[in-house]
Amino acid sequence: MTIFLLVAMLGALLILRQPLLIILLAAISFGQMVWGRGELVWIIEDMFVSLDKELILSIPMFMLCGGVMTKGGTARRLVDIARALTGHLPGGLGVATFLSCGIFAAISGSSIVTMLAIGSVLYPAMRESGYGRNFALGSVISGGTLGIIIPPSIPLILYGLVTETSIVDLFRAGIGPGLLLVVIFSIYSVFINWNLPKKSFSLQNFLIALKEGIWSLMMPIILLGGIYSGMFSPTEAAAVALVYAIFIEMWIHRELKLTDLYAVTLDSAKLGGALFPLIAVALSLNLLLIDARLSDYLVPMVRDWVSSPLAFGIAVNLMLLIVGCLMTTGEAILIFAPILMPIAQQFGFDKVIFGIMMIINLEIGLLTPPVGLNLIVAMSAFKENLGVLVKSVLPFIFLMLLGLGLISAFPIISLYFVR
Amino acid sequence: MSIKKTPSPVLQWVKRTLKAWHRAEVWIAICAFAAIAGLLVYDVVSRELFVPLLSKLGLEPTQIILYGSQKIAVYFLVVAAFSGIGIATATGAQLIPKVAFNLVPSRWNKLTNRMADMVTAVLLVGLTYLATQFVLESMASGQHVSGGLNIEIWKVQIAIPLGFGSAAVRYLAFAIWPEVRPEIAGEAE
Repeated sequence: MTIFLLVAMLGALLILRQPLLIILLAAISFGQMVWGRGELVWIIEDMFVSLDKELILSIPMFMLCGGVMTKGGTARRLVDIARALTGHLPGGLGVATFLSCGIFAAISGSSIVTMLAIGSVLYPAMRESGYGRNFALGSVISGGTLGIIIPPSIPLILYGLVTETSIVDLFRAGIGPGLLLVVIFSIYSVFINWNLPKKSFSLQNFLIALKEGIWSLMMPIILLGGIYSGMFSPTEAAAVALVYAIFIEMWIHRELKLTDLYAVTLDSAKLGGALFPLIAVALSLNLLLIDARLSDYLVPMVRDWVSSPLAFGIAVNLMLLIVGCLMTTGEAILIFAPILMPIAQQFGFDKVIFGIMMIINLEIGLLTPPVGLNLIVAMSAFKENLGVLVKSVLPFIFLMLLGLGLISAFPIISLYFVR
Repeated sequence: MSIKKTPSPVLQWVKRTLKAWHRAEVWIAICAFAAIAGLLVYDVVSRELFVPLLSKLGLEPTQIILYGSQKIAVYFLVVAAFSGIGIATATGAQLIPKVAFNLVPSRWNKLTNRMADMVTAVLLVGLTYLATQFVLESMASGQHVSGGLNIEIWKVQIAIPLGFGSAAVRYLAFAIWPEVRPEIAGEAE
């Protein structure tokens, strides 16, 4: 009866178009009144305690850094290097797209930023070079999703925060799956565009592109090298990356003005204003779930339905694919990670591996309607209707499912850099 | 020929006030973000560059170390986060699950949106009350922030009721004057 009341209340709030922040707070208040000690002020206290963590500081820094890199000329310079390097291959521009997305993802931490920054340069270039519309659209939209798996990734930070998993381990674990997806996408590009005209490799062009883009190329090296060598924490690395990004865009490339910096900060403030209170609420929900020992009730219930880790893995993957269709990545992580992770641990899953699996499922969700964020943004960015975009990403969804299968079956893909 | 309706003086005043208010919140957030970046970078640069350099020169580096800098940065983030609620509300950037949007017929959209804004405003008023209670309790306890800093914690926590309160008043304004409501992505008019 209590659960029915909770579901009815949440349903009513959804129909009443309430912000997610309000819905989550209502759910926590209900939980506090029914299963907790009825002290609603504690919710606010938990929210404050949840935000009082140094690790959270990395999120606004990566947001700002991605914004600065997008407004400046970093994306174009990285694309030029990737084109010079892979242009001679069959489907070389496709390979350049995935390579550029992979490198840019290692700076921005966001899929939308990656898709827009790389897509705005490479989509028209692919069309001019005779690549099919579906392939060109599908590759930039799907390549953008690499932003959330290749570190630094804001969804990985969110997962780490709500499940108390090491962010450095998660970042390390994201490298293997990210590279795997880049390789799978690139092989597909070579295969599908085999008959397109090829160019010969020019060392001179490559060296020119490298000279123009060396400052941008140094960014992921400083960022990830600093984290993995232990010189910076992820939070400090994010701040150093931001200062480096502002420095190269304002004084080296000279492609960023103070007014651009204001616009980038405003965008980050908007995004942060929606995200940080949500993080605080989700973390306080996590505290309530721990206090109520929810996993003690849920694990036996789940065990009644699925008995083996394999069956659990398949069931969770299917569930997360559906969740990815209906919710944005951030919402899904904040709501489901604290509930699913303890159950996954009971089935013998490693916290880090489970996080990577979860993020890849939600990465696929970025390409599936109705709330596939990359599709929605691509509609206005590339001026195409939803049907065309969905058709264009279908082969890439299958490739990502293949990647997900490999990553789930062979944990070494994720754990290679962790160990 | 269509005649353009002039907004009433009250509506014009509401628009002006909300705009000025938005600008103030944006500048608070910008200053907070700049302070966070500055503190974090200073922390890394002083630790990795200045301290080893001064130590090599035989000087005492303790004076250049800013103790608790990350903690101070976290408190700037709390300020940015809760001023951000108002910014996200003003710009239609709040995350709203759209799974049940189609359950209400589209001809009722305007009314539903107005009702939604009123409900949000009422719930946010409740949250503002709870947050105020929380801050008053902190004030009464005389608690200081962690990390050895000599700052009373309520001075940071006050951002919470102010943020919720700001959003509550804004939603109330949207419910009363739908003209000032921002367009929300994916929402049918």
